[in-house]
Amino acid sequence: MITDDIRQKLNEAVVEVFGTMYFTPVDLLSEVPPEHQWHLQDRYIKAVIAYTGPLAAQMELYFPFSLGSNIAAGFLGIDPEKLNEKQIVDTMREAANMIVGSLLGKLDPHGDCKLGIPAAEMVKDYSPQSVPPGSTALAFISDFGLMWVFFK
Amino acid sequence: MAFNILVVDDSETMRAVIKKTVNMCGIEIGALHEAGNGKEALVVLEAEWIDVVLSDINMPEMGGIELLQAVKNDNVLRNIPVIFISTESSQTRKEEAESFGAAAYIKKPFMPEHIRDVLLGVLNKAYATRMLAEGTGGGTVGTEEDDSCDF
Repeated sequence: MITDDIRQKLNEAVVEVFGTMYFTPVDLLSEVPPEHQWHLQDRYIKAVIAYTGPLAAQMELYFPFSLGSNIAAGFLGIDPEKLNEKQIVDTMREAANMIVGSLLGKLDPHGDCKLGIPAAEMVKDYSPQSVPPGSTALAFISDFGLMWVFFK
Repeated sequence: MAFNILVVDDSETMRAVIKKTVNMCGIEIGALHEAGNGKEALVVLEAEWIDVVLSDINMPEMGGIELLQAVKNDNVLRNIPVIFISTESSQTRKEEAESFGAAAYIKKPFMPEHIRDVLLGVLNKAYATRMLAEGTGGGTVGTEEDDSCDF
């Protein structure tokens, strides 16, 4: 179960990473919006990353494709049409790595936990209705649709 | 004087961004090499003259700390400065990196200017060491005149 402290620090980490590295505003919504406001996209980039130790947790992050492609294009200085899927997935894998690394730095300043290596892939027909068992769903708003995080 | 730089990160995107940042720093670059983990980095270090390594820590196969240990344990490579650029931001992790001999520690997410400042500082130190070893004059990397950074 996610605490208010973790929720707040996770939002700080997301805002910091998207603001510093990608100049893209992203912010946590106070609650998951109703389904008619989800505006799901055909493709999402799914990233999974865990940390182990006294504060062990696993997170699944789902970035809308348009968010990923815009960020990758800006980050790499490439026209969005010229990007390939690998570049977009790799960019968002690194974004997930920075978000959870930044969160861990705030939760675990003494470094007792160990950050895992993230994995990422493109997924089709994703729906936030399929919440991983035991996870808490969080929705973040961006100019390119909702980004979803499942915290376990 | 041109410097050869090795960028080590398992993310191809991050390597590209770090290389772009380094290229815009106003430092004369000889060659920019890259590697996807510590093991690949050691292969490059064996084959090429490298003046400074910019490395991630958390990588598959061989991480940055293991790479640093291998560099420090090698009589030929031991003086090459290794700068970490990592998501791992705890004070303990930074102190651990320093205790193994890291030249500097940059936290991701980073501002390009931060990489420039750290890199200039480390290269100036390395440059002075090389000049002393070669018995030639002094000088600095990235003087005030060329300190502009086109980020």
